[in-house]
Amino acid sequence: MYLDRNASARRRREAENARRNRQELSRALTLAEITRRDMFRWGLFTAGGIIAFKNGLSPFATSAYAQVPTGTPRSPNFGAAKFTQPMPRPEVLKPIPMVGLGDGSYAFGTTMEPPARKFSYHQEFSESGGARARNPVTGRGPMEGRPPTEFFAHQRWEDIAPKVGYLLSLGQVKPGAKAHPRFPAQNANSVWTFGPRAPLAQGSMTGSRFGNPVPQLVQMRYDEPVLCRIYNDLPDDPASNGGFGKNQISTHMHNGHNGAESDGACNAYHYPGTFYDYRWSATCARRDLPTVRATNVPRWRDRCSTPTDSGGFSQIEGDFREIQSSLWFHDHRFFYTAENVQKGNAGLINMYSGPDRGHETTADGINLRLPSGTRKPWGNLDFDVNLMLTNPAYDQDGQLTYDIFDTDGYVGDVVAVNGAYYPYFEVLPRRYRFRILCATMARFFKLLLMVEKSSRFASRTRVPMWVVANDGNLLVKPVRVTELDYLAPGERFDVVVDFSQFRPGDLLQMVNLVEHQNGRRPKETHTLASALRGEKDDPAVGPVLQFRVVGSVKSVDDPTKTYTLADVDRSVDLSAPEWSATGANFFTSQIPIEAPVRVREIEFKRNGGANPRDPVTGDCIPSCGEFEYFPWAIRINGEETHSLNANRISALIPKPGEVEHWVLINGSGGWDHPIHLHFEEGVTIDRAGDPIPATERGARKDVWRLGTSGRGTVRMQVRFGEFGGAYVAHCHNTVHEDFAMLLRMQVLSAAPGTPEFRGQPQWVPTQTPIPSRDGVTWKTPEILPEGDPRPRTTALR
Amino acid sequence: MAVRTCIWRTLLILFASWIGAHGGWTNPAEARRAAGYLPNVVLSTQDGQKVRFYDDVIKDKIVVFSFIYTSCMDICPLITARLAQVYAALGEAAGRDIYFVSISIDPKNDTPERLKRHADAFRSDPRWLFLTGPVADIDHVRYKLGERSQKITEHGSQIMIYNDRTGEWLRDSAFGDIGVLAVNIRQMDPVVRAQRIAAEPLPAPAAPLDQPGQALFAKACASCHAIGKGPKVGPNLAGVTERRERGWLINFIRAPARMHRDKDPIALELAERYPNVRMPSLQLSESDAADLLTYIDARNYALKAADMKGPHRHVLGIPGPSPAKGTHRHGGHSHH
Repeated sequence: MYLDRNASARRRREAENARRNRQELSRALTLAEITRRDMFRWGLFTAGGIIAFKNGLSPFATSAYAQVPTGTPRSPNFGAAKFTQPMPRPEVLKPIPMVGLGDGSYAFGTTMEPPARKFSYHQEFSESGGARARNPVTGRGPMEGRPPTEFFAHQRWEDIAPKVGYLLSLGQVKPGAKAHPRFPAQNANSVWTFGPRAPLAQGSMTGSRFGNPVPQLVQMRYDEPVLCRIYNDLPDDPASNGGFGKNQISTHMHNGHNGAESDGACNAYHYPGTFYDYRWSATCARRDLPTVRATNVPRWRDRCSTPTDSGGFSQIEGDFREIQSSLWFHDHRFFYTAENVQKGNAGLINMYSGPDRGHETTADGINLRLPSGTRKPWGNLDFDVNLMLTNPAYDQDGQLTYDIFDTDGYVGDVVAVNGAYYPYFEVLPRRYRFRILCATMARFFKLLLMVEKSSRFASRTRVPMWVVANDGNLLVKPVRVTELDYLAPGERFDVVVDFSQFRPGDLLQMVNLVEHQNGRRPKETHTLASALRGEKDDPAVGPVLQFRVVGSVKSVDDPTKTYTLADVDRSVDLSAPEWSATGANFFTSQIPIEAPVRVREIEFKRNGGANPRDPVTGDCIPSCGEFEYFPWAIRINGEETHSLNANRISALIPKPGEVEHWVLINGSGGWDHPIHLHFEEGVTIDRAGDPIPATERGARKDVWRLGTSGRGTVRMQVRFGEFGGAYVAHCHNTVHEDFAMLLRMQVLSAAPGTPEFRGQPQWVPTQTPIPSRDGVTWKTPEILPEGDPRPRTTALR
Repeated sequence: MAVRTCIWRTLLILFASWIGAHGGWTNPAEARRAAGYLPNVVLSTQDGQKVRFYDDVIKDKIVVFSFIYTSCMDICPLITARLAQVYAALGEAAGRDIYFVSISIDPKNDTPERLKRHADAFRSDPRWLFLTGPVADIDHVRYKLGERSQKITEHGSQIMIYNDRTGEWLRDSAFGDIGVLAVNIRQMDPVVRAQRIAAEPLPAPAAPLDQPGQALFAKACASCHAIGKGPKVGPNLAGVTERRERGWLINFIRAPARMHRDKDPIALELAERYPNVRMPSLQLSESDAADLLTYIDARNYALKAADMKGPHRHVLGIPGPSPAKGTHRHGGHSHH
């Protein structure tokens, strides 16, 4: 048992009580109230049939003592200590050049893989009465899960044709995948994740083990549109899921500037044996709005640019203030996002631009020279490191586990970085960029970096970080912090850390301060000292990643290169005075806050608030008790609306380019909600008078924590453009999202006859697809008048 | 009410920590099986019959679980009403291949008699079980099924569907599309899943529901109120905009509980005529209510026009809550 030496008397009593409770457990077992298997699973019973001495786990104890947030026994660690394995780097996917075939389709290089088309292969399947383009694995339904019709044809296909392609599988994990060398290997159906797929590879009714346990990384650059073909290589039998996970998937590119057909909509999921072609546009927002440009900023045209293979940059159309840097992709299947993402359905995207080029020495006045490397003309990863934080839990056999009945938001008790159980990472004494992604379901982090052991600094000395991007969007200026703001599910921070003060042999740790008891919200934010003491009820509090300063590191960009202390760091030094708040340097320029065309107030509720008021008189009727709530409510320019259906269109964006202000309100008391807006980023204006950190004020974000203290309100400015169709905004606590805390936005593209019309059909609302194994059927969307800001008299056609 | 809520909260928090320790399991390959996971406790049906929760209710069946409480004034009656529509959409399979089970989360107050009145209000098939029982047993059951609210009013509209023969679980919402939900439930049966759905012709561009109040009526009202085809759970709304004053209708739509409290004679008379179910407080705004009345007016106008043309014309010709103009597509879901 692990009773802390400092345990209170109360806890000691509980431990004693738990001992007594063993007797009751035996009795309950005799009465068949709980099964022997239950007890075995809880670890209360050993193989020998003796009730194990493990206090606090008694179902009859009245306290949650020794419980971890999973509600189950702690994940076993099989003797693996923290920081005993190297952190894996993500696997960089190799792009395939797309070759135009002259008929509007594009081949994947010289392979025999079916070419990519504007219309889904489902169109051919439907038009041939199901005779052609069938699912080769099941023989039923179309081979492509993208719905047919022009509404799911790639928007502006001729204009934004794919230049590179990727063939990806979402499949069962490869044999031998382990979170730590001491762990047992994961079973085929314990982890479902992405991996590269060979052209024309055969699928299987029982699934294919193409999934790579290490995160997959796509390196994109602006103006190089990507055709990402994702195959569903999961078992056809929905019950073959290792206890959790749905074999129907939809891949959301978070937060790409893409047409709705390529957004990974929650209702556009596809079945085993099929693929879905996503066209990731690599366009810069405001491309269609040449009037929205920061012409007062020197070289504003050059700043909106993309890297070239010769090491330079070329201009692209768009507003450089909208450039993005760190994105990711993950499952979005309605009702199953949480368990599918937890099962491994997530990958990474680094987006490169002229300013954020992934090359640290090219000095042309546009390249920001963020730490990255020099071995390739762009996209160097030697000193630009993705850290994908996940929050798994393991069963007593070491298999990934999840409680499908946990409706609060499942919280695991292990922190993994890039899929590895508490790893270490070797760094040179120089500057690094880390792209930190919180890819959990419900767990928040608050991270800091400290000295563990050093010849020059005291242990626990905090090490500064320069925050350079929030949610993958460059800040105007770097913000120096010694502790990051909270990271909620889906949020990202890009930080630069300077290790140059350290010497080989020094150790640093990244420490998590946030404790969870359940998925509703963080329970407590610890001090560093308290976090380092550890929290018995939440093992994820404390150090999660170790940095080991070393004298040489092998390059990942160039296998022939090994970096040593002799290699000089020429990346940008953000501690220089010109990068200070008053200095001349900047990453990007602030998007100004304008008078909005309309204000939408969106209140997210998770029931149970105390607002039982009569809507007319404000009386409490029959008394001020508590009423049921609907998941959210929207007011547009003060006009209320009502949420009654997950299918309906909750918010109509009537035309591209209009400035809207959205006020996101947490109306649910004790719950915290990280709200995610698809497709566009919002400029964070304020928190209704509550304090707002420097890393958030004015920052472009796509996930906002509403918080549980203060007013729980965030105001932001957003503008939609270039693409149209059905998108969503939702809570990124993926369990809340699954329980309908999701509102559908319909972004209308320009109508025919207007100068802005670009041939897109999305000037009328998109039909809602209903996928099945035999193909898509359709549901006509409903528009509530309040979701439509146009005058009531306007007929919608 | 406040006191009761407080007690509930305390009890549920205590309960949550109590049961939290044994609510989980750790062997996923086994976990999906209800046998051994769900407690085989003895519960009461709305007819007072004692049933064992696993052996009698779940074993070898496809079961649709929902959670209700009869004193709920807002969302719960709507859940039952919508599930009744799903039940009807399932046709003969309901009660034969697929079993509906609504579990009270307020077992202290929900006696079998009260559940019976609730069930009768929605004219449910007697094979649709409404279960209550000892608080600890009900709490155990609902915790295990993922209804883990710590307050009674926190309970969600999610439903769990389970096939005990395959061990497959499906999550869905009672507020999704009725037709789609029915199909999803049928697909829980591997035999049904093996049957192909014929490929359907490609659809025309979207024709959204665009009359004011139309979508809201379909979602919030149509489960209980017909316009022109006899009473359902609540009064038929044919002619209601002529029968009642507009101000009264708006008040009643928005705040029915206040009308009862203030002893409005019409509200009291309605309560007498429909004793087992209350008009829920759906927190509608004034413009929501006005939109609904506009829509009801339009339906009534169409109804009258149809009546003048012929006795059966109105069955097919009125623009109903479904979207299509002219052709009547149930719930807008076109593959039937």
